[in-house]
Amino acid sequence: MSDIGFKGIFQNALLAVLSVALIFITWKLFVVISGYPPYIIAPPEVAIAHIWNNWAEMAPLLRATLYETVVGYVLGSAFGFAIAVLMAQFRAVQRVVYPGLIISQSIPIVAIAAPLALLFGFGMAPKLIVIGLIVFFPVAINVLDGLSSVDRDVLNLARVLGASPWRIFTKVKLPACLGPLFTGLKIGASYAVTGAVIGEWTASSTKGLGTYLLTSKASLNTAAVYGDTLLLTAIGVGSFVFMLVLGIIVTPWQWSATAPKWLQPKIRPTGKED
Amino acid sequence: MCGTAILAIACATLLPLQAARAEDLKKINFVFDWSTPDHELIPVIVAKDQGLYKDAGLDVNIIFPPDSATTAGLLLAGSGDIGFETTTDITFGHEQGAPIVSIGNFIQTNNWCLFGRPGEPVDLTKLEGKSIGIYTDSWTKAMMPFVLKTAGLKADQVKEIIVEEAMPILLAGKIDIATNTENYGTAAVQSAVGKDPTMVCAHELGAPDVPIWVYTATQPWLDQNGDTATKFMGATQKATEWAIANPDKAVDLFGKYYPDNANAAYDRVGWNALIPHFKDASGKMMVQSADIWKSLAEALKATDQIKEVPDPNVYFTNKYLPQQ
Repeated sequence: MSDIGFKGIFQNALLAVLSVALIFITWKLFVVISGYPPYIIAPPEVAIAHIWNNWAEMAPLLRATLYETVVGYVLGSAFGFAIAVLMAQFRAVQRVVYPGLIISQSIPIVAIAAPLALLFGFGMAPKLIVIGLIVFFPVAINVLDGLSSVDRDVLNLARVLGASPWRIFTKVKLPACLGPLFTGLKIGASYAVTGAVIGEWTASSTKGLGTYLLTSKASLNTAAVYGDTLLLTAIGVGSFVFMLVLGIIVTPWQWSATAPKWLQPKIRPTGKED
Repeated sequence: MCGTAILAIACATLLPLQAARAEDLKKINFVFDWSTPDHELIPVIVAKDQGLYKDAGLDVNIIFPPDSATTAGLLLAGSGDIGFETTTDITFGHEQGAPIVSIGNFIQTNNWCLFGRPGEPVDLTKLEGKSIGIYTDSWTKAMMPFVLKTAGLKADQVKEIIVEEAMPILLAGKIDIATNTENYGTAAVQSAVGKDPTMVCAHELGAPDVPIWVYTATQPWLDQNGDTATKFMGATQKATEWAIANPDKAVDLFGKYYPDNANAAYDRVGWNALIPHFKDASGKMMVQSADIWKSLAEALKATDQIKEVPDPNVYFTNKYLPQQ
């Protein structure tokens, strides 16, 4: 447990903002020092101005890519969680499935994206599969590790107290794997948008930020390319931050030795809990 | 013994000379328009193989960009010297203020087409609702509005599918129509199923009859290396003429250089499909005209793809072409 408390979380958030600012400053300095014109490397203000000036065109593309990312991420994470639970509960399943998981991550996604489009058409399905393939693995591996490393003594105690397998799973194993689950979810959240872009690039009937990136690049519209990349990065970072915050809310014990006030049981003068 | 000594002396005298000659060659990075070699590279391969570049004092190194949209960027960043790309790369590049110039046409006409499966004619009057496989390159972006205008349709009345390779998806029946150029489209279908695809090409699609591919360089590079550009274009033109006259040998030569990428049947069909397009009506190769560039810019302006039509002379120069 890292007992950083909620004040510490706020300080970390502030440092993260400073870190982002540092990236923008480095980017700007590189453009100035290298002397590259904007059509080779667009400076940050040009990229941001492009988003501002073309928001009407880019907003629907952002929505389309965000939608693909979120749906693919949720499905991929759910699949990863389910497969990890199955593997943890049934050793035979783990022995059969685990090598398959490793193989699935060794296949270059770009190589199978085109065949997926041939098999499933040009709608959402191939994109969701691509995103799911990228997202499910970190979730599955982290949850499996979490479920496999539950304290044996706690499990034995639960059994001695007469807990059913389902109750052991929901009351002991599941809370124990929440930390690793959120680690996997955070990794998956930052990768999901890459899957959406690959899906859009390979075969797509809908336009999104991925296709906009390609057409802008083909037109040598570097400001559009960098503006588009900023929005894609924002999706990735936003997804990560969302899962980070959710993780803090759901697993407060990971961050502080004392529960936040709103989670603390209210004790009546009689000594009974509310 | 005596013979060996003479040979040793001769070697000692000539080898340094030869090495010095190799060092004297001016190195040029030629950036292709695609991440892998294909039959459009044949003139450069012929010029290299026949020593035409070497005779002109050039050592040409071929660079394959990561994708079809990076050639101009590599030239502008100084990573390449002479490029091979589409005319629309030049027009869109100028729109962004990039000083990129066409120094000679590859082919003289627009061989971009809409393709249908063998035996299934492409009918422009029945385009509504059809799924069309498109690429994200600047040429396709420029041509599609003309297709829609001629068909009397709006963008949302057809289903544009962004694809990595249109022809296999067309043959698999997943799309109704594919976009491509005649040389690539016919070669892909011929080599896959042994039949010709159906096609409707640029002039029937209302698209301007402008050359698709050009040899390019940046203006600052040309200002400092004009003589090199002239030598490159001269050698490349000679090689192109030889490859037109000897198509089978040219394709075999390409296969010798790139055995992993070459598909003899595909390249033969593709190269032969290009041959009728190399010379203009007056029999000239590579020569560009202001009228053609103006018609391209006006067509792009008419379809809201560029904001202004500049003086067409900013796009091209014939200065570095050999006399014909």
